[in-house]
Amino acid sequence: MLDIAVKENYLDADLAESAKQTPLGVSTRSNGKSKRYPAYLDLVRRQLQNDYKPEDLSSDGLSIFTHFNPLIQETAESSLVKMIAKQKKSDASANLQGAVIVTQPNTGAVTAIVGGSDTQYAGFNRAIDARRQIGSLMKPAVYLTALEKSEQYTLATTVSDAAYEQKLPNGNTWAPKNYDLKDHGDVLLYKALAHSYNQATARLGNELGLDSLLSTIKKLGVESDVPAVPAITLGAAELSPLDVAQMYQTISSGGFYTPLLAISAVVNPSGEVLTSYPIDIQKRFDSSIIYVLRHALQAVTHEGSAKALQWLLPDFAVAGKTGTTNDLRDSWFAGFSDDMQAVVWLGRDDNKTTGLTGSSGALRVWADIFKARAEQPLQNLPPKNVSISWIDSETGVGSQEGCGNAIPLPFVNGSEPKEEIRCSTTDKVIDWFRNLAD
Amino acid sequence: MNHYKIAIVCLSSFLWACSTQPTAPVTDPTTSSTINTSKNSTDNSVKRSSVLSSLISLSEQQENSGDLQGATRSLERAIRIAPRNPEVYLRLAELNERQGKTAQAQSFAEKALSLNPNSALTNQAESLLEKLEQP
Repeated sequence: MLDIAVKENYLDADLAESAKQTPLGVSTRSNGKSKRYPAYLDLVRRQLQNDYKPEDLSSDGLSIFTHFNPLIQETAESSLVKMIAKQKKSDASANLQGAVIVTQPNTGAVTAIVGGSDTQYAGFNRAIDARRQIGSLMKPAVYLTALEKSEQYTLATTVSDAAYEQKLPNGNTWAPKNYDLKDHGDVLLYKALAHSYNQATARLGNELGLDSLLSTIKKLGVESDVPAVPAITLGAAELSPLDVAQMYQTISSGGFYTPLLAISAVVNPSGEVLTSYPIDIQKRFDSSIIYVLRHALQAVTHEGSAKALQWLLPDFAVAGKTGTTNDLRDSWFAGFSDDMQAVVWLGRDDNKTTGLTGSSGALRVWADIFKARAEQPLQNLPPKNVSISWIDSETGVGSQEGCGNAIPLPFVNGSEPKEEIRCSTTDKVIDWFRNLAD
Repeated sequence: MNHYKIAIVCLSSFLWACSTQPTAPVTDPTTSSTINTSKNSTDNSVKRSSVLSSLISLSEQQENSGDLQGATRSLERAIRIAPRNPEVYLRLAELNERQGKTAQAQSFAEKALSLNPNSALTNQAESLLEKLEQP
């Protein structure tokens, strides 16, 4: 039987902050206080089991170095618990449960895990074991598939959000509706993602083809089987918060599949490293395409379904996606800054409605965590083969800065639309703004 | 029934870490300029730069003394502090290449290239990739 006790290296808050930044020369003292972090240790245990049998771990004093961050953990726990307590009063959200996974982009380090509202209880770990429909969290995979075909699709490509119907192999008709039950006509591709339009996404997914979509989903790092049905575009797949974190990790890491790791090393009493768990990455998507996708995911937070972040987390650039499933059974938000990524899920164990959308529920918990703990906003300098062009936000045609409705959008070089709208007093195209943006 | 006690050490502070004091603040010339500045930015980014330089020097020392695993760990710690710094990934790529780990070397070199490196680092990364592609 494996009994894991956490000897928390207790540091006061200031020291802990600087210890986070300065791994050298920090002396720590254990004050014997032991608090349990069962959800995080659960992941540690599972990852250890891949390399160690219980009998291998028989010597006392074996040290397992993890990426656990107690400050982030405490914030994640209190933010989730606060939301759940607040919802307890309303009928729909009594018995609300939740999970949080916090990871670090680019390294895959898992820094905090919350498995449910009772954080001290080593019970059902929803972060790792709850399998829930992910709804709109799947949409970035659809738009990524499109953007990879940069000759055909850019953020400025118009897509139709008219009513959509599809005949299924079994004879039924699938007719997904938008959340607001409206048809939005022709919209720019980035807006369809930012506003999470179901009709446009279902239509786009059909154009791209199921095989393409499933391939992108796999490349993103989703290892669970997802059903090969059109509704996959709207997230008719059951994944755990950990699966979702792994998927978004590929996006937050610039297109590099970055396996999530709780353990960094196992060390024996003499200080010898028995097993080391190095950072391991694999290029799966072009970083320019991911940069372009990321712009749309930032638009989610500026004008789209997570625009509440403009006042919940002001002046701090992040990207992310809300997820709401049918009948509001699941409320999700997955998002990241340069130094932190978090996936938050809210739902009921009996799968009844929560009364919460991704935006009114999970997003709030997420914003609390980032407000307290995130330090590096997204750095937005475009990579070498991406340039910014001004686009007419209604029609998607090339425009100029200062023209009505003109917005800047990033494009993989060569894919930007021709400039058709000119509003300068001379015929000469004004190039200076491009140099500024470079 | 045997009970095995394992101490889980948080914050990943290694027992054998050198206790070098951070040197005077140094701005890292290879970091691309940020458009947005983070909260508490000046203080933290200055601290980060000096720790970054220390870690890179440490990894060089470790590599020179044959401790390749240690050098890798130092570079990984550097990544945690400066996850968008192309030089660190490039060094990790070279370290992996010297250990014959071609796939990892390739991935880290590609990662370095994806982070807007200056022309010197770009050339270095591209040469490494060319070298790795040779049979």
